[in-house]
Amino acid sequence: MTPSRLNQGLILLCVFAVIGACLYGSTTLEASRVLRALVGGGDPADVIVVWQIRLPRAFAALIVGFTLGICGAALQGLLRNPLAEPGVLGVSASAALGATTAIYYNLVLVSPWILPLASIVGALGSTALLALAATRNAPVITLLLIGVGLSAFAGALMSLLLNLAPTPFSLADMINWSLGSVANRSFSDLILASPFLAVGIALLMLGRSGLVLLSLGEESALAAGLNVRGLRILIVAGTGLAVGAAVSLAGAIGFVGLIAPHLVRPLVGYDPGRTLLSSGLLAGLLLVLADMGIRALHTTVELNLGVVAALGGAPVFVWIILRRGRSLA
Amino acid sequence: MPELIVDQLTCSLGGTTVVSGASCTLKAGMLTVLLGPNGAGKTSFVRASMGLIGKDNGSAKINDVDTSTLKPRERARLISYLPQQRSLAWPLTVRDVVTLGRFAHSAGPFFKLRDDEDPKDVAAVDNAIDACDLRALEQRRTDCLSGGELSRVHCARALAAQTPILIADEPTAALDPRHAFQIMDIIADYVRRGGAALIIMHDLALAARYATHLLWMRDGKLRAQGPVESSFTEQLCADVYGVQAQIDGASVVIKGSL
Repeated sequence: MTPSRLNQGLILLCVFAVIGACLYGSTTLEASRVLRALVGGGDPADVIVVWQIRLPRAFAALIVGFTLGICGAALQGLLRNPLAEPGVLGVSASAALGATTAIYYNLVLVSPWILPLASIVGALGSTALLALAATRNAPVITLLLIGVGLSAFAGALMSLLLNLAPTPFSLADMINWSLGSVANRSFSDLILASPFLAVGIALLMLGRSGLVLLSLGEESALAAGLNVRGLRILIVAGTGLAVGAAVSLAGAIGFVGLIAPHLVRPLVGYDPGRTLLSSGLLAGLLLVLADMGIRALHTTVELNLGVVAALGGAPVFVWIILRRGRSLA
Repeated sequence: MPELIVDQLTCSLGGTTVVSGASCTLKAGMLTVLLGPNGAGKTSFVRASMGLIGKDNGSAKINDVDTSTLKPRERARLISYLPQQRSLAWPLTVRDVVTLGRFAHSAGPFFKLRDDEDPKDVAAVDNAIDACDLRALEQRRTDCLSGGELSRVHCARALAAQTPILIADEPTAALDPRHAFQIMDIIADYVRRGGAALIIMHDLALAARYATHLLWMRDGKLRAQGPVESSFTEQLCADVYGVQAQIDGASVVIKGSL
C-alpha cells in the first residue's frame, strides 16, 4: 500500500465514520431522515438534531483527533522517540489549565477568543520547556519525567483554581477539562478554534522534510543542511497553537497522538514526514469511533472521550516502553 | 576546487580551551588523517573548522568565506560530515538514508523521500550506493543491518552529497579489519576522484596505509603535520600516543605503552 493510497483510504473511512455518527444518537432517526436532513431538507426538527447536535460533535471529534494525531507524530519526529505525545508530555494538561483559568476568572467574558488563546499559552509554555530540555541533550526519559511533572503541576493548579476561582467551579467541570469531551460542541466553537488549528497544522506540515532529516540525529542533520533551530521553533510553535486550540475545543484527550503514529508508521515505511498526515487521519477516525462508542454505551453519566482514549492508549504506551526496554535512555 | 583553510583556530567547551592555535589546509586529492589520543580535541577541532560550534579565535575558510557564517544548506553543499554519533531514529531503508544526503541540494521544505526526485539526485544516490557496494541491500531496513553494513550506509549518505570536502569522525571505529579497509577504500576512491578528506582515527596502521597527510594532535594542539612519508615517525607515536612503535615504511608495530 502506498502512503497516498493509505491516506485516501483513511479519508474515506473518516467520511463514513462522520456519516455514521450522524445516523446514530439518543433520538432514533431513520437513516433516510438523517440523510435528508444532512442535505438540508426534511423535518426542521431533524435538521436541528443533525446540524446542531450530531454533526458538530462528530466534526469536533474528527478535528481534535486529526490535530492530536499530527502533533503526536511531529513531537515524536522532533524528539526522535515514539513515546512523545501532547498528553504524555503534559502539553495537553497545561493547555487545559490555561483554558480553565480563562473561564473561571471570567476572562472569556472579555472576548470569546480568550479561551483558545489562554489554552494556547499553556500549550506553548510547556512545549517550549520540553524543546529547551531536548536541546540540552536531555535523554528521553528526562523529557517524559518533565511531562509527568508538568501534568501533575497543571493538575495541582487546577485543584487550586477549584478552591479560589470566583466563578463556581465543580469537580465535574474539572473532569471534563482533564479527561476531554466533545459533547454539546457547536459549529461556532469549531470556528473559534479553527484559525489556530489551521496555522498550527500548517507550521507542522512545513516541518515535515526537516523531520525526515532529523532521523539522523541533530548533529548530522545540521551538517547535512538542516536549520535545526528553525525546525525546533516551527514544531514548538505549531504544536503549541494546534494542541492549545484542540484542548480549548475538547479538553485534554490523551494517547490518541501516541497510538495513531505508532500504527501508521510501518505503513508509510517509517518516514517521519509522511507519518504526520496519515496519523492525523487515523487519530481523527479513532476519536469519531470512540465518541460513537461512548454514545452507544448509554451509561447514566456519559463517559468522557479522554477516558476511552486512555483505556485504549495507556496499555499501548506501556507496551511500547516494554518493547523498547534499554534503548529508552 | 574549494579548499578548507584553518588558521590558528582556538575553541573552548564550557570554559575550557580544547583546541588552541591549530592550522591546516585541506586540498583536493589529499586524504588527511587526524591522529591523537582520546580527549585530544580532535572532534572539537573538526566541528569548529566546519563552523558547527563557535570558535574563540582564528579562522576557518572555504573560498574566503568563514565556515561559521555559512547557512546550514550552503555548508552542506561544500562539506559532508560523518559524525561519531551515527544514530538513526527510525528504521528507514538503506536507500532512504542515502537519499537524506541530497537534502541540501533539493527543494528544501519540499524534500521528500521516494518520489518526485530530481534525476540528478537519483543519479547521485545510485552512484553512492554502488561506490559503497550496497546495491543488494538497497531496500533493506537499517535496523536489520550489521555494524559493517551500517557504516557503509552512512558513508554512502555522505558521498551522495557530492561535496568537494568530506570529514569523517572515526568512520572505522568498532569495525573488523576487513570492513575498516572497505570504508577506507571508499574514502580513498573519493579522494582519487578529486575530493579532499579529513578522517579522524586511532588505527595507526590503517592511517599509514591510506593517508597522504597526517595531523598529530595532543592536548588541543597540533604537534606535527605533513605528508605521511615524513610525518609518520616513531618519535611522534611516542610523543602523541605514548606508545613505543616500530615503523618500517608504511607498516607499524606497536610494542607497548611508554
